[in-house]
Parts: sequence; C-alpha cells; structure tokens
Amino acid sequence: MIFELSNKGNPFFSNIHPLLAGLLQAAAMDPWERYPEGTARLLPPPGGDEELLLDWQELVQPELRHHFDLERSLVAEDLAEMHEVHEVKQKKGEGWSLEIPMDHADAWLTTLNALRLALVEEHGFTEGDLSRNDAPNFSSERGLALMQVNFYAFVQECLLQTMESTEGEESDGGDGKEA
Amino acid sequence: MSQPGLLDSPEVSLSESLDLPWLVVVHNDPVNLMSYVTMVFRRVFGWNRERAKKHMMEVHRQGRSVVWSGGREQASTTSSNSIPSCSSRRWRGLHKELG
Repeated sequence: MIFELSNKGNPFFSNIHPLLAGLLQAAAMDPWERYPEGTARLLPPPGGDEELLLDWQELVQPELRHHFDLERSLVAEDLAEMHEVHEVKQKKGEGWSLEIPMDHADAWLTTLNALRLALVEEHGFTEGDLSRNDAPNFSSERGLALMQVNFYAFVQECLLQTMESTEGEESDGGDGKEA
Repeated sequence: MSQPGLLDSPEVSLSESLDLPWLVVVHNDPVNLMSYVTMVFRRVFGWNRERAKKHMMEVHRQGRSVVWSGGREQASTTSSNSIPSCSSRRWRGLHKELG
C-alpha cells in the first residue's frame, strides 16, 4: 500500500491489498451493532454521581452517539468511492485506491479511533498485545482483529501527519485556556 | 418603590456557594495514539504544539494529566462534547474529578 497526497492535496492510499480494502470497508459498519460489548468503552458513564449520570444518559450520550453516526456516514461516503485499479502495464500497480477529502479527515479519525477502542475492548487486547511486532496471525478472528487495530492506527497516523503538515504553525500562536 | 435596607436572611443557594472547581483529568490509555491525543489537546484547548505535547507526555509517563479546571457544567462539556471527532470524540480515561 502506498500513501501520498493526491493532486488535490488529499490523503491518497493506493495499491491497497484486497484484505486491507476489506478492513477499510468494515469502518463503515455500525460498531454498536458489530461490537455490542466493545462499544461500552466508547461512551462510559461519568462516575457515580446520580444527577450527572442522568444528564449524561438523557442529553450527552444521545448527542455523542448521533455525532458518531454522522461521522461514520462521511466515512461510508468516501468508501463508496474506493475503487479497484488494474494498471500493471502502466506500472501504476494494482489493488484498491482510496482518496480521503481533507474536510473528512476528522470524521475518519473519529470513526477509526472508535473502532479501535471497541475492538480492543471486545477482544480484551492488552498493552502487550498492541505493542507486539510479530507477524499478524490471520488464522484466527482475534489475530485478524489485532491486525485491524494496527492497520487503523497506521491510517490514523497518515491522516494526522497530513493534517499536521497542512495546518503547520497556523494555530501555534495561541496559548489557549489555562489548565 | 421599596425602601433600601438589609435582608435578614439573604437567599443563597448552598449548592452554588459550594460550587468547587472541577478538574478535567486525562488518564493514560494504550489505544489512543500519542499524535492523536496531542491533536485533540490542540483542538479542544487551543494550545500550541509544545504545550499539547507536554501534557500528552505527562499522561504517557505519569499516567494522567490535569488539563482543565473550572465549573462543573463546563468541565462536563469540555470532557465530552468538546472532544473533537476525535472524538473520537470521547476517549476512555477522560474523567471528571472533583477538585
């Protein structure tokens, strides 16, 4: 898989292996349906304060869930444009290609991060699992899930690097609110 | 028009008078990428890169970092709604703690 910027300056992935293309397509699926246990990690209750908990359940949680869904719909929009290329003769390689508009980068970061959190929770991956460097094990669902977590992290890093380079020092002047 | 005078029993809400500052504390988490956390800090708090990275490293090395303090409602907003899509929007380990 090759990562570069497109002519429009958007993050562009090409030569994507069909297996990885499948993992990307999975990002459009509803994590609440796919990982019922893992998604408990995404919107944990804010402590034991009863009043706060009620506010959370009635106001904040539905809004956040709605936000997740909106972001995921943008990701699904981009994935619908992902296409397979057969241009070996032109030495452009083959596989799937995906261009992510810069104004969708936040949506991708949100969606991929939520999926990584849900996958880690669902499969009980430890910090040790996440930092292992051995070859991925495709023979088990757990091995594939670990690869999915790491692959999504790679895509996130690509997007973050692109955002960092395009944003540059634009917002570096402000010191923001005090902690 | 009523005459000016002193109130015998000023109406003061106890809960308001004891509205202690709340802290937004970010806890370490191996899943969220360091670069992602840094970006979230910059977006949510408007910090420059160095400051965002300093707090991110504090979370990474010391297990947590106090990133904001203030009223309860705003603390709640800061720690949930304001987390950008990064929000990912809200990542685990972002807890509100009474200061």
